Amino acid sequence: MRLSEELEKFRSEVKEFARTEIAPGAKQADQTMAFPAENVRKLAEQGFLGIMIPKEYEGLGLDTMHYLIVLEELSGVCGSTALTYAAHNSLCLNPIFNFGNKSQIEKYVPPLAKGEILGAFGLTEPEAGSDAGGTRTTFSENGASFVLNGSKCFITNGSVGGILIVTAKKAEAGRSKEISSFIVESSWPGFSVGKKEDKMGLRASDTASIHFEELPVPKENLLGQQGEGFKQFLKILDSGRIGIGAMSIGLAQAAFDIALKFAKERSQFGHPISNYQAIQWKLADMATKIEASRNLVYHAAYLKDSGQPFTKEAAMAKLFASQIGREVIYDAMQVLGGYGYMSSYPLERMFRDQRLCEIGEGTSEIQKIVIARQILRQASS
Amino acid sequence: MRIEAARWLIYQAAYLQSIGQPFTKESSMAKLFASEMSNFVVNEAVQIHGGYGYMKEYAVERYFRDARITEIYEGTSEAQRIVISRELLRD
Repeated sequence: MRLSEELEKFRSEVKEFARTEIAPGAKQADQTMAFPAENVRKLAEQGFLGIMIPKEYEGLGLDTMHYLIVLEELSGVCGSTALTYAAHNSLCLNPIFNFGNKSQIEKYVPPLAKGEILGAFGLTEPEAGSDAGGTRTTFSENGASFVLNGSKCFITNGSVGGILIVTAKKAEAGRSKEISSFIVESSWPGFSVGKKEDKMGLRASDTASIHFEELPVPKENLLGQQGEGFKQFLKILDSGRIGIGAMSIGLAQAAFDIALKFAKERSQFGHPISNYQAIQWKLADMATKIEASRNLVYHAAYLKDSGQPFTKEAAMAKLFASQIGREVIYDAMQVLGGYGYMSSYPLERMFRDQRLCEIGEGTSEIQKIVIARQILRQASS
Repeated sequence: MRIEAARWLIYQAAYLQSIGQPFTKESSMAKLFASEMSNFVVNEAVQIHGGYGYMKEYAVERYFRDARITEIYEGTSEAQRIVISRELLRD
């Protein structure tokens, strides 16, 4: 798929940055689970931690396509760094910028956009992932503050994030979808970090549970109005899903590039294996699937940036690109045979990293529910 | 159902071997089918677990990684297809 000259130039610059600055530490980070703090600093230097924020608030003022290109190129070399970047921008910084009032934006956006502080989004709970009605974290009002109690799990950047958006429901609300969101600072009393998760892939990305015990949140840190949390996080997830699609594309493209190179160099029965139709067909299928995923993901990004509804398209992009990503990396590993299973090639890491894309920010099954709901709604109107 | 079908393919190949009959085609079919089945099943198992399936504390995370090699070693799935088609064309 051809992008504008400006975007292609931007991609080649980011690709070079990713190759020289981010790729070298990826294997070790995967093995040690060490959070890539140095990579975060490098991303901040490039301005990528505020890529979609206007310049007056210390961002780069670029659009979703630029954001996705960075995400793709990072995913291709280090999935953990890519996810850290995505969660910060898409799940914390952009929501504050889009739903926050002027004083919230002035206080929180510049330090996040400069990358001085990392952001996170506390939505998932042990009993509430896609089912927001099951939220158990509560808030009550106490004079000039709200008081938060509860726990969140599987939170990306949970133990390294300084600013978090946290969802909670009124203490007396019971099982309701009336959820509110708050801007919380991790330094406040009553905030604690629990278990850091040991994951199949994206192992250097920080995934932790966080706990709130009588955590006081100033009234001015309510994001939007009370009860708007559900609507807000649906929008947050719509955008986030385009990002997961781009992560899958980045991983799939990198895996394809490795398989293509290997197929041309590896010789069996006297020929490079790329001479065999069994391998050629795999390569053709892989390239076609990546191309189709790109079109879906970029189309959703275009709709978002031009202010049109994109819920259905984002869910389709995520569903398709993440499934395709698994298939492409699977086939790439098959082309490499035994080499693909060894950690001397990055394929086996990509295979593990990619598996999250069909789970995080709503499983593939949830995407199908979202798509079906949109289709049925359009059909009845 | 897939697990059950794979079992019988494997048992059939083992039976042929034990009574001294040719079993090259059957053993390749068993290996190909069972290893593809295995990767399909462990993938679904991870998916049913959602986020938990991605965490090391659940065994499906390990099954997912361990199953992957079965389509690669002792002849990849592509090599099994070569063996099977050669046997079929010979018959």
